[in-house]
Amino acid sequence: MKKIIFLLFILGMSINTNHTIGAQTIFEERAGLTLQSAAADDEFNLYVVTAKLVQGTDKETALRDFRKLTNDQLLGGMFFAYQMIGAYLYTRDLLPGDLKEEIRQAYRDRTMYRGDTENHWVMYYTGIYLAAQTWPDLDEKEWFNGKSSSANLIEAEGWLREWFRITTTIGQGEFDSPTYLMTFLNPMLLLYEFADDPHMKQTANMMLDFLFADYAVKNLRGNYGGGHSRDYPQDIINPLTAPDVPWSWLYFSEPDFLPWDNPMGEPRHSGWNIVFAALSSYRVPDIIVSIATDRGTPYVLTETKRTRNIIRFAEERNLPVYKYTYMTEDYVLGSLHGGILQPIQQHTWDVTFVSDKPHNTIFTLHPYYSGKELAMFFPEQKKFLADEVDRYHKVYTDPDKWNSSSPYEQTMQYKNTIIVLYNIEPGAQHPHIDGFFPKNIDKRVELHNRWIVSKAGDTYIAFYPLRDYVWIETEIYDRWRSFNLQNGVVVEAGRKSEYGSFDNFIDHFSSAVVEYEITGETFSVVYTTRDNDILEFTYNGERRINGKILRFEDYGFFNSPFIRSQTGSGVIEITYGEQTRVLDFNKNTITHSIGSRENDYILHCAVLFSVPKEASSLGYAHPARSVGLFRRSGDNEWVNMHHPNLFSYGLDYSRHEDTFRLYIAGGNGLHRSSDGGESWKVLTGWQAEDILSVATHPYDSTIVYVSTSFGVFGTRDDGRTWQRRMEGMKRWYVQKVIIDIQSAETLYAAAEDDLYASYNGGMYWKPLQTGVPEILSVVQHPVDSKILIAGTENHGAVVSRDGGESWITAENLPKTAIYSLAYSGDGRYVYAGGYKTGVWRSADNGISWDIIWDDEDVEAIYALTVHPDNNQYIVAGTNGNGLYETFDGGLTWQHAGLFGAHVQQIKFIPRY
Amino acid sequence: MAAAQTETIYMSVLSSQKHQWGNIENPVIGIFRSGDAGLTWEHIGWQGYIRTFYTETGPDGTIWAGCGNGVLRSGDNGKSLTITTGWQVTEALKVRVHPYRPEIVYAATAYGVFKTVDNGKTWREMNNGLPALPFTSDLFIDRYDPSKVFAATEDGIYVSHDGAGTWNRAGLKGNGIRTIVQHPNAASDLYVGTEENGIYISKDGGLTWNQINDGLEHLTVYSIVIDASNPDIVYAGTHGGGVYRSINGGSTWQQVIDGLTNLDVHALLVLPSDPNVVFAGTLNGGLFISYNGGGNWIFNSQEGGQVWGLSVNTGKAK
Repeated sequence: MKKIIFLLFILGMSINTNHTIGAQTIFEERAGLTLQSAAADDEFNLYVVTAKLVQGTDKETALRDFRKLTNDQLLGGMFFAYQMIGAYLYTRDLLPGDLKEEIRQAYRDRTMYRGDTENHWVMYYTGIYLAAQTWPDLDEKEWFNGKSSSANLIEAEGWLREWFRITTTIGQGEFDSPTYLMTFLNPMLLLYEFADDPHMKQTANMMLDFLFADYAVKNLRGNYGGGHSRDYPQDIINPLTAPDVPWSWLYFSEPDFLPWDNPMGEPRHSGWNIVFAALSSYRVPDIIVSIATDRGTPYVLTETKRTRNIIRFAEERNLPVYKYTYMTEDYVLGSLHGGILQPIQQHTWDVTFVSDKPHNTIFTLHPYYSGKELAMFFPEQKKFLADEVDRYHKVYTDPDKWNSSSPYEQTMQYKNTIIVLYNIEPGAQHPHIDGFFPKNIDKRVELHNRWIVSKAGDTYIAFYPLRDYVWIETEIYDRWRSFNLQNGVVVEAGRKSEYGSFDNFIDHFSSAVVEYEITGETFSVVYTTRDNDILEFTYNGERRINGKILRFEDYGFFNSPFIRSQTGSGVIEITYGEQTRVLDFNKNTITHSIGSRENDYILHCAVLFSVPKEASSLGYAHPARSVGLFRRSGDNEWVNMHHPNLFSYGLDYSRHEDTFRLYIAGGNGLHRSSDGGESWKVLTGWQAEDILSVATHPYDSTIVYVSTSFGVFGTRDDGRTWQRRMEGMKRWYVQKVIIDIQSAETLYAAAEDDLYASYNGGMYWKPLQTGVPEILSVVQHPVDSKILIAGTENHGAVVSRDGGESWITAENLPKTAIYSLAYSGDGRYVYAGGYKTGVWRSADNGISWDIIWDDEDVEAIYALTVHPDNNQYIVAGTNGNGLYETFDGGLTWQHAGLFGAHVQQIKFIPRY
Repeated sequence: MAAAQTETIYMSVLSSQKHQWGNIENPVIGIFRSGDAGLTWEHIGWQGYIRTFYTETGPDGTIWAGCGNGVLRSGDNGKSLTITTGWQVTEALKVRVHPYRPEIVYAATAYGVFKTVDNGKTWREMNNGLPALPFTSDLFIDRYDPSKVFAATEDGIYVSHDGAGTWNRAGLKGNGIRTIVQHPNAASDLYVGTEENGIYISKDGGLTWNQINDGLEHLTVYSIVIDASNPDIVYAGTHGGGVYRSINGGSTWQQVIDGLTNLDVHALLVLPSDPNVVFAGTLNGGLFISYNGGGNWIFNSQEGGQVWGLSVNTGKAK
């Protein structure tokens, strides 16, 4: 609360805010080394050509190769589309005019297949966008697709914006792919560097932050840990040779070896695809570098991604993919929840450990394939597709493959322990389960009780197969294989720092018990971890942790100490230490702050009346019966801002350009101050007494609505005239009016007989048929405008998820008066309070609730609010006991002053 | 052997085992046409890989093609090809041009049905009433009532009476439909090829369906074609079973594969001017031709190619 704030708003154009000299110098060194090495290489591609040209080392060869590549009829498609324009834009000042013309003509003469995967489309449309921007006035004849430059630019931007939206709200389809990561980063780097449109450039900057943060939080010393949407077998079994490793090295300086001189083995790719990155002016913020490299404290990360587009044999286009990752200094254990989430190249889970030797990973899979799986994602004929894909991805039908998505595989992970169950249908391809165990680990012991325990450096891994298996030895690994169609494994990882020695680890697992039961078509496992957490998992059934059902919906879009976001919100909060970086894709802004941001707001409250009580024991100044609008000062004193006898029901503010206005919904009308509370004016006449609530328009300061005991009134001329707006309403008494977050013409009114909506600024009201009378409170989700919750006098709360079309009753919230409802700023939680209820919290938008606070001194909660930037900071207003607040999400509460006050509304108002 | 033909055959080759990316010396993928009943083929687009599924011409001779990049159009007889669709349309599996109004075109795609009424300037998604995942393999416009459109989905047949504005079920729920064709003379006679259950016929415009698999040993049916000069003769292209022929309107079927060295037949065509000439496009075996109504087959061209679609234009070229 009292920390000094440094706040930087970066709006529109991006200015990178994280220039700590040290880190950037190191980046420059690595980038320079990359360019030098790539320029000295003789690989024949556009990255090397670019490096040679900008380094000026071998201009003749570079230009010759550039020309050959430009005119090579064998090149085309989406890789060509973006690499060609990238190479051109980085080197255009060095190119002869005729070559520049040939490059332009390539976009006319060459086939640019758009492809059929997410990475294809990102590359294709980035290439088309930048080419159309580079040659802006070409007509239809000058483009391969018969569209003009402007039509191409519009189409490309349309798709890119749609991809930004989907990726930042429901997730990437080709998520966490060590191979394809670069096919998203490279196009975004080019857009950041070369997009003329500042809005696009800003979004590219945000997408880069987003993609790098997503990558960083699963990075362990250069290993891309956990489940992957798409991965190649060679990389799965040898993570430090994967194509993402050069990227990790360039941006996070891990691993510490040169990617093109890799001691772990020969990578599939040279790694020169980091040349554009080395040339880019984008710098990954230090906060993300810290997240990638600080492994001091173990952490859990849960995430939601999505499947790639499913075109048939399912109910939904993009089913959610639930991910769990547990990160430590020594190992990372991560998993996808199981099933067919990506065709062909899925990698469901692994435990990958820090090692100076290659093949530092252990995992299992069912090597499944079917034409149906492919036909879910590809439009060709189902029976023919398995053969077809085998032409391009030779491993797909291989019974020994190391990547696979199987409909017969399900996982459950909790921290350092995973249970993987297989229930393979007879007749499925291929009827066995495989496990990868590298040969070069320090030790592997099969204990008498079936546990297989391994030591790899400071990581200890215990692996329990439920049923029989065999070992198949090869040169670099031992293949664990089970022919049992119903089988599974329990894997618990440990660290030397936890056990002291591998012997102690063996001792523990010598007596560790896994209970399982196979009953016909399903089976269950119960396992108690060393930390005494009880994991229960039934195939196709429930997953329970310590008795509580695991709900994937609770995983959030991101949930971890470092990245937080609610699915659908488009707002990503990246945190490390004192730093917070908020990517708001709705507003296209990056907000970077250091230190707590709580003091950017001032707490205000409206007090209706005050009960004289002795307050000395609490040490708070007694406000002497005063009522009115209060503001909390820097030293936690409450200051009455207006007349000490103004009965105050509510408050609001508006801020537009350089005007700032405070409003009090008072017993004798609506009061307004335009000078920060120095002077006040009553805006309403005799018609509007007892103003019960006030709502200000989000971007037109002349429009204000109030609800009163005699109806809703509105002004559109800054309060000079007021109109009574009651058409369609049956009863006059309206407790509260609010304005929709998306459409400012849409209002909601809590009335005596129903909740009403108006879609034209109150000109006409429509009852929303909540089925319950006496609406006292209403709240809207801060991001998803379709979610509405209304509190009632005698029936608890009702919830709508379709903008008021249909309503359901909040399950376990007391069926009593609910006076107050408040959402957290990110929409993750909603809080409720009322008569003899205490404070309740819901994480599913009001369906189910948990009580988080109750105090016998508090009769009723009349007001609630959550700090806009701090979910953990909640303030509650009572009827006669003043204010209480919590800074830890409700675990502990303390009195916050105004003892004796009946608080009707509380609001955090930006500092003015 | 057929005499010189007036009609033009369009062939769409999706991919090929012989294909090398962008190899213009050996164009084995894309759009081909023949004006001489298959003796010679002209490659009209594109040089590289765009996954062409199907090509047909409208009544005004405009060429339309469904491909991975969307719907292509050529208004200059194939000299230039334009992608008419935006990013919203991808993997267009079939295009169908209105029989009388050439500016109206439907596309059956992996993401449902799209329609243009202005020659491809704008396209609209037309999935109202189709399944949540509206994958549509095939589509046809009733020749007698062009406001009536049938769609072949992964969950049966759908019909629209308002030019795809709204769709209603028309039977065969649960069946993946591969193809649907209309009898050349009887408007309400429809034939359907399915993924698993062979061939169905409806005699009442899709209200009721009967399975007609007598003699049909391969029940995955990718294509059906009816000899317009003698509609009792029907050919069916199957997965794994090559071509079947019926001489009694589908009551019984006989496998006709003499000389057909690839038995995954995805496209069929009967030459209107000489119905003894039948073309069979295979998956990875190229194009075959029969000069005796399927009595025997001779390899024609596109070695290693997936001949996904065949169509014929008997009208004028544009």
